[in-house]
Amino acid sequence: MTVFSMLVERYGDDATLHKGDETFAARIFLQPVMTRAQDRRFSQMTPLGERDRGRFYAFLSAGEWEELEYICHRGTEYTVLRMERYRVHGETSHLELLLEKREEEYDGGD
Amino acid sequence: MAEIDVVISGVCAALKAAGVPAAVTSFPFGGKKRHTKPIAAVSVKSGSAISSGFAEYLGEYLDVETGGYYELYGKRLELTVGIGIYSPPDEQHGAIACPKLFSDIAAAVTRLPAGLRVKEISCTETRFDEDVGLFLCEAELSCAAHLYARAEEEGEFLDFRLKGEVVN
Repeated sequence: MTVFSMLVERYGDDATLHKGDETFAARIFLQPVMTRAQDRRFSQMTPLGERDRGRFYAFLSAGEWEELEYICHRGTEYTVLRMERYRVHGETSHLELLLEKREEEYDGGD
Repeated sequence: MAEIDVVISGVCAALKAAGVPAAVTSFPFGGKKRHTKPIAAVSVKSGSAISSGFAEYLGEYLDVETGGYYELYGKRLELTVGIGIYSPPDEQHGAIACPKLFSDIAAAVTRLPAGLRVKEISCTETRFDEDVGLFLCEAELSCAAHLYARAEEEGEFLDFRLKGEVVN
């Protein structure tokens, strides 16, 4: 067990990881991506509605999950934009995910 | 309802009736959804109003059902309606769904209410729109809209309605 695994197990939050039809339970650290730019807009108006452009980082232990689609944390779903491995002394210490809030699905039905 | 809203609603209704998966008014209130099927977003790109008759007065007509005479008013709008055709970047739909949907829309606009006369419909090439994360093909519909309204005997106006509009 890595140092990060011990930390996230004790201090992290419960989350559910989703990949296709598979789900995994995990402990994560979740934090918003903040920028120093004062004029940064975190929402963007588009012809299809307002888009939340806020981003989040999630840190979790490496596991059998690869190419995750989205995660669910405290009732909020987040789309996984990017996943990177952090290695310490040649071994994978943890994973870092870049997330944004997952939009509500709409298939065109009324 | 404002006259332009009447036209946009008429176009959306005609597209839905023709089988377009979803047709919405551009810039809806609320958050953007995660679209799993192609969708058309309808808006007005430009327009002008042309008065019909004298100060929009067309004359009187007899309502056979009520037996009363009503004053009729009309106006004509020359509009360029923008139709953004969006398609999700997945294997089932992808970029090819945009020109396919444009063909369906081109057929659907031949069945618009009688008050909407189509002059031309055109579209641009398909590209990927980073802002919404969907493939986009922008179509334009040039048309003339004929609206009418009748005044009650007491002189109170009703809203202008699209000629040929079907009301539930």
